[in-house]
Amino acid sequence: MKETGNVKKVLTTTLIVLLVVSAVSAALNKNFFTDVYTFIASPFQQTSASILSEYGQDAEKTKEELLKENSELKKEVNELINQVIDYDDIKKENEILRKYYGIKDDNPDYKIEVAEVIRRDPNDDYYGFTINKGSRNDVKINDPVITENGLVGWISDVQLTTSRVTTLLSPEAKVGAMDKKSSDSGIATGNSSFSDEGLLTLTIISADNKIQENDIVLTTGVGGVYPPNIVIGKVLRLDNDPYDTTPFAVLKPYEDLKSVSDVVVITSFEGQGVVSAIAN
Amino acid sequence: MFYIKRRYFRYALYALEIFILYIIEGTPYLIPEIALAKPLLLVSAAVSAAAFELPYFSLFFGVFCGLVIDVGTGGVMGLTSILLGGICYCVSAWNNKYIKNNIYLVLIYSAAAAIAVISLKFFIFYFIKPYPNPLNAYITHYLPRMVYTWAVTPIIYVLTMCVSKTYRTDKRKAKVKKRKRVPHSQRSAVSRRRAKRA
Repeated sequence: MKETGNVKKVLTTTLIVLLVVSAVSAALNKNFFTDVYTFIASPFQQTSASILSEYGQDAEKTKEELLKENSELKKEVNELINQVIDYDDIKKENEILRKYYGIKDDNPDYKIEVAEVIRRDPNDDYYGFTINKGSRNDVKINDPVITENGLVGWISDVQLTTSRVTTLLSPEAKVGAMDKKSSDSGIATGNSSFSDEGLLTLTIISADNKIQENDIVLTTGVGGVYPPNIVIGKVLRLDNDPYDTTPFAVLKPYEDLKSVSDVVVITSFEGQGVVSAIAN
Repeated sequence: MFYIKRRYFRYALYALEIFILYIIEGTPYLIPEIALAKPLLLVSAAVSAAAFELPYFSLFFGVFCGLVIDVGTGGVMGLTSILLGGICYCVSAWNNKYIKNNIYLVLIYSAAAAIAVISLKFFIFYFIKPYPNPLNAYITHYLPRMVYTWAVTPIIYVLTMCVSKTYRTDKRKAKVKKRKRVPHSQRSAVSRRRAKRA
């Protein structure tokens, strides 16, 4: 009898505590447990991610591809053998720095933070990931995340040392976008029918649009969440909704959103948070 | 006192196991994707541990695993914990009272837990938010994830079994005294007859 009473007490207490935690986390969009846990886990995640970032990609290749790559690499090794041992590392580091400071050069108003992908959650349908920069690095919710190839997504959750990035493949993505050539505007958003192929859609476009295949689509900057003129992708094809026949365009991002490993967070830019008309 | 200390060591090992599995499941490229899915190792770990431990501990282990899953997913904290804690408590109570633990049972528990935990997320995203094309998402993402989570259970089960056997003092063994062997000449007539029959 006593044991049953204890079980009930423990179950009730646990349930109450969890409900309070859920309510507080839902209301404040923040909780202490996440902060503490991610603070402890992030160095380990970063280490494991960096170890596997180079070698892990090979796991998905076929034997023929690996053999071909292996022979090419051997040739490359022969060419490089006389050079300094850590030449490759230095070169790679320089390339990363150059390409991201190129972004900074082109857009002097940007404040950027270079980050590395340290975790990809297996329970995320739209390839969201965690990066190794958090509120300690001035990263905030809704900050845009880009690479040298274009827009990747935005910061959807911030902890002290890590942040979660939701990619453009998510249906939650609503990015003001326009065709560079025809100036037709619309909303770039993810769609579960296309996200597995790494594609997104440009919706709410006019029926008499002049969008063509291979046109480049850029951000408009309307809404003040994303800076204007960041590349989203190119138009792969035009299609119509099977239910209401409204037109939409299928976009292919220049960056592979499913396997991106280095990103840049724009922590500040001119016009951030300012809702404006279409900026050209 | 010594028994309690050993038990806490075992609990610390479980915590370490969760931590390592959390790192492994989220590390890019470490676990291969099958049909666009990756397994939720912590679900299998929680159920496997519940099969070996007492209901109280299983409840807290399930709750902790659920919290860690919520940390990784970034959703509302606590919902997965409530669900996984409840499942683990039931598994442990059932196992302790009625059935002897074995791998086949754990596979059944794991399937139930994977369906419940993964469907909870599906429910939140596709019915509360709601995202479009729920059926397509369920078939392409959620079902493969459930199957993959279930498929890795034997590996996690073996790992958890190793942890559960570490620092475990078998009380029954300690209490049961070895019976003294009685010489044949000193046995009673009845026991002699029994020995003959045997």
